[in-house]
Amino acid sequence: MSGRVIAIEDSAYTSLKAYLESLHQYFAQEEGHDEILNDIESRIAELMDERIHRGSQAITAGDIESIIASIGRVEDFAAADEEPGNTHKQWDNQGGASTTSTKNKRFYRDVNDKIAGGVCSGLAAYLNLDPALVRIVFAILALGGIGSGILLYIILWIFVPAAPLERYKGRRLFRDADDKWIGGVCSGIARYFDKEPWIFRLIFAAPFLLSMFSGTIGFLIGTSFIFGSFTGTFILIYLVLWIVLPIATTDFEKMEMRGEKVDLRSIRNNVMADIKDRTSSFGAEVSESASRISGDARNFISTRGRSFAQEAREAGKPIAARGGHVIGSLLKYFLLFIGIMIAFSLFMVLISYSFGGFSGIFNNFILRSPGQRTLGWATIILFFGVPLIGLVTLMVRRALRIRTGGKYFGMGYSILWIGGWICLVALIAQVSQEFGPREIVTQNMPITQPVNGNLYITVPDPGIEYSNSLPFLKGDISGWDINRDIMKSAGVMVLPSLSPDSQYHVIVKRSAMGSSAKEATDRASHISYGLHNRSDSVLALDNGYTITAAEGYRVQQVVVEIQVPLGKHITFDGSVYEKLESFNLNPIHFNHNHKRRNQWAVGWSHHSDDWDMNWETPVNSWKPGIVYTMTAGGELMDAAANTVSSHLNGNYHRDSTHRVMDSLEQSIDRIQERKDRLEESEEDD
Amino acid sequence: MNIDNTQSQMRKGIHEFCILSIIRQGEAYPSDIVEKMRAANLSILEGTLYPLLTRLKNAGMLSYRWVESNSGPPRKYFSLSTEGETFYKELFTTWQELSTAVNLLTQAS
Repeated sequence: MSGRVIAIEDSAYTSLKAYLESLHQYFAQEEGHDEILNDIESRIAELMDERIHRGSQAITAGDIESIIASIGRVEDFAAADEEPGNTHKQWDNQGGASTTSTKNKRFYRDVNDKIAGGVCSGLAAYLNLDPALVRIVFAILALGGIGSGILLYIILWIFVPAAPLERYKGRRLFRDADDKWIGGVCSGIARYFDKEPWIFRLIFAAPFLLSMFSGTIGFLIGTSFIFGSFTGTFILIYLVLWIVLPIATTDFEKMEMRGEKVDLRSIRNNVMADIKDRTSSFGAEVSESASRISGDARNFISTRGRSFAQEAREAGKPIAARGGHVIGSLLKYFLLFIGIMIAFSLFMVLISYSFGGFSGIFNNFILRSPGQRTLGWATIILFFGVPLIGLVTLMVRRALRIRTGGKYFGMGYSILWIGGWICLVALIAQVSQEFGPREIVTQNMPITQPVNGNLYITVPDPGIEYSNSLPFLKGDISGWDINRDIMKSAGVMVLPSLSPDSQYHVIVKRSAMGSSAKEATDRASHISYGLHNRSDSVLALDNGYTITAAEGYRVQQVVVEIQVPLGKHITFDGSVYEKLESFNLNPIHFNHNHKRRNQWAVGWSHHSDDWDMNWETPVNSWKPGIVYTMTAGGELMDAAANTVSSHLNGNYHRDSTHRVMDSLEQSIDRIQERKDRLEESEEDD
Repeated sequence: MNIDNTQSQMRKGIHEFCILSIIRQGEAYPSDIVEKMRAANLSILEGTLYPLLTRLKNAGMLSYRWVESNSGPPRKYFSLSTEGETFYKELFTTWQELSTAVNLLTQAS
């Protein structure tokens, strides 16, 4: 010390050294600081000498303490020395350049680690937490608490001073850049908790997947509400995390991400211990800073306002960039999501087509030539299969992060898919050509005239039921049956009309479409439908018509026209209603004009106004078991002189009203009867 | 408001003048100056004194000489220079004006 050797104890030496160091730092900016330090050192040496001379063997820590006290501590200089023109460093009571003690830490905004204003990271440094967690809390407050989080943040941004703070040391929540499917959120969380990423991916995706599969094939329509709202929440949480959490790119960050073992208890312990220390000192600091603020208010606001505006402007750019990046990625993944949906539906079509018997039906009954069948398969593969494979490949590559050769994939698939479009168009063209003109074949069936003037119509054979012969189609379907070779339909229309003469006639009309008139005619005539007399007054109709696969389905129709002479009768058995037209593939209602009765062939054209698709059943408006009389107008009249239209046109509605009225009347009659019976029995008693 | 701050501010303003007065009375070394200040009830820290002396010296108001001592390291003995003397005289005038003003104001209340 000053060129002299003085005996000194170790602990004393340490404090002396620290003191000299603090002096050195304090006076570093001062002009002539070397001289000052020399002077002070000399003084210290002098004081130490005194003590030695007084009899001490060595300088003790206590000696040093009193020496330091007499010369003065650095903090005391600073307090006494606060005035402009001093070139000392601003030296506050906390000893900024010396090691910060946890007991006296203040709440600053962290300049070194800020996304917007460093509020969250500053608060995190104060609480000794991972800044990402504080950001999450703020984000939740901002989004969920009616924006109160945003207001709080801005207030803190303005009023809390900024300082460069030390980086948070501890386990941090990052997004994992090495193992990211979408944003790396799930794997980051997984690393933090030392678990496998798929657990968290499952958690995040669970509501979405559940809502997708909770309906059956019609998941697009039948999304359950509960799962749907959870889906939205989870997606929102994921987005928030994506924006807020930093991504671990450097090795150091990755180490931080994996950190030492962390569990919630230790986090809580850390936070609690620190908070207890700080709440008391923080309270004192708050009152002190509050009084200081009120003193400097005007000056503070003007400078602060300016710097805040500038900071906000600067912060806005990276936030916008980051937000833009997130939105861009979002769009990308939204499109990907749409792609997945399309792929899924294509997949379902593919599945149902190939593995169900649907292909059987399509191939057998609609496509007839081998060329068409090949075209059909090509269409399926190229039009449906290729985009499906393409999308799946795309997703797999994305997930595995394969980047090579993407260009050729895209081109190849596109070309194949265009091929699929061509096949599809060709197929449609071919098939619609098959459904060309419609031809009708009429056949006059020989029947015996009923002697009692009443023809009884019945269908003796059992009604057609679906025999469940197709693997994919199951169910109770009546009036229609199909297997690989044969299709049967009970869609036979029975129409009574006025006979041109005094005889009963039965005419069976068969119609079908074809690629040409001749083909249509052939096909129509190949429809098998028959009827026969059971007795002279009972006419039995076939339960349905049959088409072979060889013929192919071409919207075949069968109409049985029964011509009843004027004033003669006709009765329909219940079986007619039960067994015929209970499942009518394509009921045709055509406007039947009396005058054109003999020109039905013309009426059977395929003008769209003649094709009136009506799915209502029953089509007939007459009732079983009633003896109807043919009127001059071609309508059937029952015993009560109610007319029932025998042709189906706009009068249908009137007839149905009649039907309702009739059934109401019947009900009223029955109630009346019962009432009468009750009264009778009461009288008897 | 912190009274200590105000008080130290008041004292700080007068330190220079007092130190110059002491040195004017005779050559003095720092710890001597500190003792005299303390005796006059205007204590000052040595850590504050040393920089002040150095500043004054660098400004040419003071000069010093080294004096060897038998008990300890050599000491700096400060004395007032001619510029320092002029400086002091002006400060003395200021002080007189100040004290008159303050006395007037305090008596009025």
